[in-house]
Amino acid sequence: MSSTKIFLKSSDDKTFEIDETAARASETLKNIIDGGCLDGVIPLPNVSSNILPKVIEYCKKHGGDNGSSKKIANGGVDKDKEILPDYDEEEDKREKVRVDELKKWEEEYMDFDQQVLYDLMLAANYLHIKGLLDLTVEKAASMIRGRTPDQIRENFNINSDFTPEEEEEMILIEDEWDDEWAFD
Amino acid sequence: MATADWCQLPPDLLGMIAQKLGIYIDYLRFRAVCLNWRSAVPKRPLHLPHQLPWLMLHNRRGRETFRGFFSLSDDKVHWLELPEASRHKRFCGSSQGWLLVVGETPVIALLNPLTRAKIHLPPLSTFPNVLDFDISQVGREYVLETSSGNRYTRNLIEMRDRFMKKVIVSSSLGTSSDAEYVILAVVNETGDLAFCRRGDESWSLIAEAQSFCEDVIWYKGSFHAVDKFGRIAICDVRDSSPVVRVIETPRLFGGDILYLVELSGELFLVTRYLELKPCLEPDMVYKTMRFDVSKFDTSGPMWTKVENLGDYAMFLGKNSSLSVRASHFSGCRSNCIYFTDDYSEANYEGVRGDHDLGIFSLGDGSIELLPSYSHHSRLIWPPPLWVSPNPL
Repeated sequence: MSSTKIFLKSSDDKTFEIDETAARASETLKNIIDGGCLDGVIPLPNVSSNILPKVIEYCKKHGGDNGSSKKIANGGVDKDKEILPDYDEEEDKREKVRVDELKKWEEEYMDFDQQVLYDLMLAANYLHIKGLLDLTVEKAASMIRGRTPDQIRENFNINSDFTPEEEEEMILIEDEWDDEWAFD
Repeated sequence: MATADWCQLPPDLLGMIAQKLGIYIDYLRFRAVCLNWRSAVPKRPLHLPHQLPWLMLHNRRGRETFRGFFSLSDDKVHWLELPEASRHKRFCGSSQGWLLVVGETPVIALLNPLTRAKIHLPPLSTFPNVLDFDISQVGREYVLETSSGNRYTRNLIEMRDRFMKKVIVSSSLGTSSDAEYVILAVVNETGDLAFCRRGDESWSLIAEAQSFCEDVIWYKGSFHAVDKFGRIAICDVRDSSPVVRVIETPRLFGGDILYLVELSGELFLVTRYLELKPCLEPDMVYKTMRFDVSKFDTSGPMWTKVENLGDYAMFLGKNSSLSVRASHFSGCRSNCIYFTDDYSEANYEGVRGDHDLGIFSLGDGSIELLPSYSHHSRLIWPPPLWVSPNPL
């Protein structure tokens, strides 16, 4: 299938090529394309050349694949409802293989440090790529779950900016919790 | 390239991350990272789903203001200071993290053990079937009336221990000062359902739903009550005169206690089977043998048996029946029913034995004790109770 090529220019003036179908995974790009302002290059002043190829890689995987990609984008399972297997079994199997394959791809795709995560999350937000935004937000949440504030700060390279008084209050919150758990 | 400054992440993105944290402690810690993170999300995590219930135990010996809570997640008993939970008080059920506290006076209240917030409800003496309360009539302080008009008396202790079976809170109690809510009480002795709305000074009976007292849950905006044959009464209490619609289902027979549970947005019925078992000869005590689970099928309408709860676990007892996604919480097993002892009196007329509580596995039909619970299983009145931690 041939597809119109689109050119994206990163914040540091580097140009990248992407198929129109892939570009449509981004709401922002989709609006620009549909708005008919396609002569030449689309400038993306908020996305650097370090991160743009990563974004394009995601779009290539998910562009023009609106049906099932939503399910995948949410981590493969609907949050509240089980997917009931009341349809064709063969179709079900093929679907499962596809889901597994995409999950594996996502796992490899998402293997990077917090610096890339930060830039990718902002880019996904700016370009309105819902699936990618969801993946990055989930990865950030997974770096928080089950950890103390100190461990979270270390994960994200954050310095506490609380005043000593506020810090005291924070410690109290932790202590209060630990206290509740510490009596036995 | 600029270094990532996570502290300065835009508030909407921080909000999205916080929304992914399903456990209260993670949320608390998120807010303790830096000022920006703290101000980006509300103090009360409105998005939090049901938390994994704790099992509320007895008072701590030697420190009577402390109450034990058994947590499945870390398999430990912890102690919360809760002066409201003295030995003279009883907890007649829990709902959405609120405990119904009844003492040796007509005063009753809902108590959140996590925040210690308290909401006073109309007193026991305002139930329509309570005709009179007179503290000077020692040993027969309350005069009650059956639905057929017979009068009888009850003393303070009897009212505290036996009058209320369960309490169900409509929704989002305590989230804001002007929130509307309805509380429904299952009256043990008469099988009546009574309710009070925010601001009411007395309880009202739902006359048409009498005998629908096996279990009640708040489901899709109204109270759903079930009778011992599996029929459902949908009680709409938005107006002063409640509207009741009964759904007739093919009658169910067998089983000893029924529970209504919402699971993944659908209505389930659980049947509990008890049997008399020897315990320290010659005494006999009731023990749970098994559970059956059915799902409500609107096309019947009827109850259709299910063999599997998937990733869900149910928590049944004197609490408002509930289900959780097991994979969302460590220490929680899927396809299991966590149950406590809620039929009380029969076992406790001087009989010594363990409380009837444990984990029933639908997979192989086995029942086992809660992990680590055995050394806390001394017979102490009242039996333990599931309560969901609710930070609101």
